[in-house]
Amino acid sequence: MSGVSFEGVTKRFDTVTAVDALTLDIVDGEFMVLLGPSGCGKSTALRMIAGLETISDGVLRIGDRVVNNVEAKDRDIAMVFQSYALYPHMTVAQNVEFPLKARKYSVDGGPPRKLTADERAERVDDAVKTLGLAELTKRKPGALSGGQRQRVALARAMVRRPEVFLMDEPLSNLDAKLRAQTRLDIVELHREVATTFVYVTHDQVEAMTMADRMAVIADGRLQQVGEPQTVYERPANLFVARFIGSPPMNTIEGEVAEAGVVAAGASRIPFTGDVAKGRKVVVGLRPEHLHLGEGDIEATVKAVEWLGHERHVIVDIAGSKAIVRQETDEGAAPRIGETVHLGHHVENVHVFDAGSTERLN
Amino acid sequence: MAADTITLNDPTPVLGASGAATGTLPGKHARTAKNVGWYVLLSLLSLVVLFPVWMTLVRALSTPVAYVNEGLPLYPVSVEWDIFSRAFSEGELGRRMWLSAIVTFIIAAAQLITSILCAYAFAFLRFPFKRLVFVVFMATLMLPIEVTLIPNVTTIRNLGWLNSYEGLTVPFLATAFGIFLIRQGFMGIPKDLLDAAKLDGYGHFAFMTRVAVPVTRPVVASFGVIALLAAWNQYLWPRAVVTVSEWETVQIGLKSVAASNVEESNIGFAAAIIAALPVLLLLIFLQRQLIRGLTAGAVKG
Amino acid sequence: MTAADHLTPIEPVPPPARSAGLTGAAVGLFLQAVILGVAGAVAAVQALGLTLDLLVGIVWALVRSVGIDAGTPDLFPDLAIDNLDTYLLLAVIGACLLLLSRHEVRLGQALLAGDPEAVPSAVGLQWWFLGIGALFAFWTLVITEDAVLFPVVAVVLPLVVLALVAIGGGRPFPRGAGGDSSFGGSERWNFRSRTERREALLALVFLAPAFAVFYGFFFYPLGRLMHFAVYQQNRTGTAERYVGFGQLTDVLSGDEFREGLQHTLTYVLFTVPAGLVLGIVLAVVANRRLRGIKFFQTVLSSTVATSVAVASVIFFVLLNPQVGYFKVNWLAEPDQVLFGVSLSSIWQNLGLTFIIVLAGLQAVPDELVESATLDGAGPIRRFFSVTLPIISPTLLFLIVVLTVFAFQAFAQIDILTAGGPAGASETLVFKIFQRQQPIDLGEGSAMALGLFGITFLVTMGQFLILDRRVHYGS
Repeated sequence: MSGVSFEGVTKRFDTVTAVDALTLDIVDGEFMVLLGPSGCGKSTALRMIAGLETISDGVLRIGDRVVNNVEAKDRDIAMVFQSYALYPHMTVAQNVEFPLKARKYSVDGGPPRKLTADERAERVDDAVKTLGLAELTKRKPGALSGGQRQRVALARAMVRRPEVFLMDEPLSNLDAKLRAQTRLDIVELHREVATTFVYVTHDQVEAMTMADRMAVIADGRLQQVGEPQTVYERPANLFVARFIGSPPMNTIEGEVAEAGVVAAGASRIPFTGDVAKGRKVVVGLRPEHLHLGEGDIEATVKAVEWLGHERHVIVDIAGSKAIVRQETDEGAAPRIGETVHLGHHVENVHVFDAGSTERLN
Repeated sequence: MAADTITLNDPTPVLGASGAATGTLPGKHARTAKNVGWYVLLSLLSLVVLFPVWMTLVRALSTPVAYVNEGLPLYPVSVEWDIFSRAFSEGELGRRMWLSAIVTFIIAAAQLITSILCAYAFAFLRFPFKRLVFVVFMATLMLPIEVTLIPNVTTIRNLGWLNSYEGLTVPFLATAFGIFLIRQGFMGIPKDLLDAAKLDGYGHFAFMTRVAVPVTRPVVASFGVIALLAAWNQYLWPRAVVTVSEWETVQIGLKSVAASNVEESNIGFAAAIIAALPVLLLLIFLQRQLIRGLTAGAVKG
Repeated sequence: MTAADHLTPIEPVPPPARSAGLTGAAVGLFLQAVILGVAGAVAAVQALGLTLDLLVGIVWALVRSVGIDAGTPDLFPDLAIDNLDTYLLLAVIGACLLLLSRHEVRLGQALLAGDPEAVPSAVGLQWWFLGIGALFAFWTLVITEDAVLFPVVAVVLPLVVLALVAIGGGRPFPRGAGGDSSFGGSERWNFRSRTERREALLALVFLAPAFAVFYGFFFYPLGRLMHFAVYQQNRTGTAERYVGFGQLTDVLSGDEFREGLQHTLTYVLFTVPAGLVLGIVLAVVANRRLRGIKFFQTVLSSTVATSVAVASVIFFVLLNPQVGYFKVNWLAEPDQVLFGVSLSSIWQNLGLTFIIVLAGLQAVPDELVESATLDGAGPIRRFFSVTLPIISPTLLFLIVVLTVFAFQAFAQIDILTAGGPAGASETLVFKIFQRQQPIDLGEGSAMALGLFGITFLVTMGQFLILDRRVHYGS
């Protein structure tokens, strides 16, 4: 068990910089989710922890050890791949046992040594039972369903009892129902083994539900690290604000007209915080924080989407498109073309600098 | 326009399908008759293909003089059943086949090893000038042994390898064909598998022997069978680097056997049949691998 | 102006800095240009000398032809007209070197001016330089076995220039030395990474055994072949003297080679079309769902179990001049012997042809044949207009393979006819095989080079076909 720390780690491919001076401390035993759109460098960062990509610049530590030049096979790390990467010619039991045959393991705190066949069988048995694969041990991966393969991959990772678990979009090949179930299983597994987990995904729901902390990455750069709730409630910049949340946060351009008020077209949006007068800003407001009725924001209704338990009212505020969530029991839907007023609480207003896109309040 | 064409043609398959279905029901007798026709044709063709073999068998079993006196019939005359054992001993086939077997085994085993190693490097390892090296290796396909025969024999002579295992095998210890074939197989293995094995604590060599080769076993086996076949059937090269009869392989031995038994020509014929037997066994037991190997590169899929 | 525009602030691109590396690279290029220029000039002067010699010789010949005894001019004693080919080559090389030298000067100037666009061209040029060096090395080693100063320079200088380009901030290998993605990642090969160095070392170990064989028995002999082709050995092989390309051209235009080629091509004509057609017939007949069809397929493919030697003995039974079954004694007639021998090849290759065509037929999608049936095509039209075009890549492949087999035919001739009667069945390979004595090495090697040229064209054709087949598939 150990943490992972990136210090200015950079990965350059031929023409692109996949990871740009990443500095991130992953605490021992933590469930860290690397979240970002596809191609943002999060998988590359994960593969650098694994030792599958070399490091162009910077220092990477696992525990206290600098691992820049340690080969993958010499790091004590297990990984679950998006494709599961099961060995097709081996049975489930052989797949799970495979990592145990290669290395030395410390048993009951003793010096590392090769495991005996009995010890291996015991560990395999353990892992297979935990993940409900006991009936399938003699099958080959070709004869398993997607969910079963996924669990074999998990079993193969956990049988090692490694320092760090890495998971690269392990749920993306599963259907929605199975995904929700497996999410819980993985969180359970994390609680049981109490080891550092680094989990890569582009799915914010996975990140929000599973992470102790999450790191949002875009264009190879770290945007924000923090607990899911913090990241959601206080996004550090416009990218994070727009990326986290569904439907995404509404953004309205404006200018600080007087202390604590942004003017955007005909609307005046009060907020908390101290931003200099006359500054060009972008105001962020989540759809669930806007309410139809009384308020300082003037909007024109463009469309209404009915989703059963709620409606999405799509409006135009000072030239920007915005979505307002309305519970179905909150009254009738507004008519298209109607001008409405929107209310909000001042503490729910996010203010970003229009130039640097950084948070201002 | 295109949409019109499709709608016009659309009903036809339905009509055609039902027509074909109804057509077969009352036509069971017609079909049987047709099948009998095919069986007859197939049997005839098989007989034509096997005729040369049958005649060789006939001539091997017949006493030469009696056979000619009988007027060259299509069946054996005054059969000598012991001809095969005689051919085996007088043609020294035991020694020759043993030599061929050793040479064949060395070549096939070495080709498998070198091809797997090279294919692995080309498929899984990163190194500079990879493409250039690959092209250089594949270029050897352009140089058949017939072209390089003269300088190669000179080399072998200079090394003192005439009439030796080295001379018979060394030029064939690697082949671009095997590298290409096995590399194709390796390229079908997902890269993730290598990554997973690395994390499981295995190096490249272990991944190669425990995962890459087992996963591509069909390809490797096919190439192995082809390598065996090609090595066993070699003629020109042994003919060029063997100058004494003790080092003659079975293939070039056949000529010597025939030449030294002019009176009893049936010994030579029997020897040819014996020489063909090992490969015939290979064909029967490893037919699938053999056919896959022979058709590799010829047919997609 | 929308918010999105603020997300990616546009910074001005800094002007390219004129770095020390680019200047160094330019100097390196100039150095190369000087060397190339000198080499080119020397070659050009020599070629010019030859031309003069030739002209003078022609003039003198004219003078003598009108009856004036003017003696023999001796302007350039080293330049003999016999070596015309060598000096023509020299002229071409000289011209190329001079052109390249001029190009290098221009690039060097561009680099000095700090033009980053010139970097890739400068890098590309290094390959030409290396190539010329390698050619020169080959040339000197094979022909004169002389010192190799220029090739060494040709290797060292490009490396220096590449290093300087790298220091100057350019990429020595623009597309990544590891090759494109199909060759395992677009990542630039990183010399500084220990893991990657170890991987390259491992690759070296894996490739070394095969490379040793390929070098010793493919590339080295190719060089020796060229050497032998321009040298004459003495009877015992203890001494040799340079005789020039004349030997090669004499042999390739001589009767022996023409005869051998004629026999070989005749053999190709006898074996390839007949073998192919018979194979197709067998495969078409055997390609149907019948009970026990596997048995027939095995029987029809059984000749793959015979070697050329075994097939030759078997056909010796049938074609034996003393006790043959046919009225005509093919093997004894000079104008029919190749036909007789070809029978054994056709029969022996039938199994392979059958297997490959059958595999091709089985890969034909049923829907296509069915839809042709529904369009009212009869079995024969169906075969020619649907099946045959679909399996045509397979057939082209087979044609190439059978042709290569025919070109390499040796055992059947060695066993059935020993080249006779009266050399009427001596194919190219047979003639090459016969020329193993030191005194014949030159002639045999020249023939082998001729055979190589021809088989090279055939196999190139094979690769083109294979390439096209891939396109069919996708």
